[in-house]
Amino acid sequence: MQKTNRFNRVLLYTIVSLGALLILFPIYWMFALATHTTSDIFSFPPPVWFGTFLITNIHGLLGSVSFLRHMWNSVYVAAAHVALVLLFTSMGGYAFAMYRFPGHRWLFALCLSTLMIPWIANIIPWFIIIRELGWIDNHLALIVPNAANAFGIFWMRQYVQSSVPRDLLDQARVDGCHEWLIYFRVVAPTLTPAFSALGIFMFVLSWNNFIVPLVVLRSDRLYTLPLTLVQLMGDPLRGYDVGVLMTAASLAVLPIIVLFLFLSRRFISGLMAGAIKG
Amino acid sequence: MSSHTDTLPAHRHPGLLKRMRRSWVPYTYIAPFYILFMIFMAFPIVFSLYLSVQHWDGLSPMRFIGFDNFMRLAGDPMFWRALNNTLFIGIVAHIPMLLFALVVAFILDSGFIRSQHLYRTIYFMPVVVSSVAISIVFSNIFGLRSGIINLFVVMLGGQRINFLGGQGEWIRLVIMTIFIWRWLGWNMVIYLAGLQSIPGELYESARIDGASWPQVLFRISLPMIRPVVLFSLVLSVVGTFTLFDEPFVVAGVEGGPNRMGLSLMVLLYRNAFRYSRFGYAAAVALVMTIMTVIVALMNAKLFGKKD
Repeated sequence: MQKTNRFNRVLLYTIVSLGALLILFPIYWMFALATHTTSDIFSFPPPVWFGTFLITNIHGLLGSVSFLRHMWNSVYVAAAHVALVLLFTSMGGYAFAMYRFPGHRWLFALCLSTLMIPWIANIIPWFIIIRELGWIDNHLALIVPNAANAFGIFWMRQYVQSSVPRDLLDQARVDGCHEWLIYFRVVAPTLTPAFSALGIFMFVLSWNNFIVPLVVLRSDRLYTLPLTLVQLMGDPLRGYDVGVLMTAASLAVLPIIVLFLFLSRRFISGLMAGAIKG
Repeated sequence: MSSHTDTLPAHRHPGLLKRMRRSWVPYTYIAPFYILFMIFMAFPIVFSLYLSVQHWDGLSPMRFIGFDNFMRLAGDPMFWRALNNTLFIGIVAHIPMLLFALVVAFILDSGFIRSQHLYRTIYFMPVVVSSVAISIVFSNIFGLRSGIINLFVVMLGGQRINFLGGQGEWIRLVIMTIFIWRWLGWNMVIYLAGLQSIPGELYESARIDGASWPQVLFRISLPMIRPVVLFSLVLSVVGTFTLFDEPFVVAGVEGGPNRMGLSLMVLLYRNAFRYSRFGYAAAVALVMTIMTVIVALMNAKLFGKKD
């Protein structure tokens, strides 16, 4: 009995660890290749350990594209987007959680049904609206349109329902707080955990977004990091500097991984909680 | 709450307009969503339908051409190739992903593994990694000359495989691998959440009744998480209909050799933003939307019967 138990445990650890290694390898290899020259990378067998050319690659990267500028664009766009998302979704989620008003039922159903729509399929008319607004080659096109997303409203409604006591609102009313200000004065401060969980999620989505900047941005000075990577790939027929490309990819991924490792527990539990209630 | 107000006698029931006016606070709170929704989602969907029956290059006046876009679509081998690729990738990739995600979720839930949080974090990590960056890395992993996969192939005495070139027979496998790599952990975490929400008493009573672990697995765990698995599967399948980043990076905007790496979304992008065929691209978009609606209806039927 004892023996089979130990055997089982070893087997289970092996399966789970093997999967974990397969998950980690591409990320690890990206970092490793960032420290090699292109000719090293294309040698056989390819390098699997770190080399000594990271500084050379960083020089090459800064010399060929405006990497720092693009990274700043990514930070700024994602931060502005998250600020809007958190404001709009928490207001919406709070209203749906705490108020009964004419039409609240079907308005909420409408909001949920938009989750199923692959909105990206309608990128052509979406693009035309952006053009009409004069937002082509403008960061506003990345910041505003998805700022009140249905997932966020749904998620915030769940959070408010489960963790904001109604007494809090009643107490505020008794104290003479105006109805319109209850959210800002009393409720919003208690939502900090929800803000950080949803915020990092939306930050990551914005940071990694590819098709929207690809379609909307024209000038190099406005590019975000995924466009930088495509820019570095250039014309594959002429070949490109893979070492520099891997350095750029690593630097684009690293900040997000660090952020994720710091907040992963809250991030994942937030998702799990949402999955169950959903 | 609402049933209470519904049963109020009519004469005490204030008029709709009055109630709406009284509710101005929640309305202003939800207004931003519906304003953005109207501008950036509802209108594009309607406009998409309109565009799909027009000939338009995005600038000059539109010309109504009826169903010509759809006729051209039906006669376009590139469209059928892209549809075939998209469905193939979307369906085949989910089989190993679902199985492995379930196995890992069961193992992590079983309690045999001590560092559950560590594994959860590792498996979830790909979700936050840039799809463009990791597609570039996978292009190297599957590289012909010095990719890791071909390193193993050569070590085992085989002939190098041209994953990204040749006749394009392997390129869908590369795209599927990236897709599985990215979304395995996401699905696993959702299944794990489902498993952990199963009340402990169920397992307790099964243990008292002397049930073996396969019995527990097939009689309790799997049936209990079935709705969660189905729901995330449907969302995931619908997600693959608009697969873009991976095929774009791996196969390029023309779809690679024999266009075997072309997806519907890349086809749409190519037609609209490279060749200015907006009406034609809108017809592709409509096909994708219809596919989604079909899956959603199938899903509603599946759920409707059981619950």
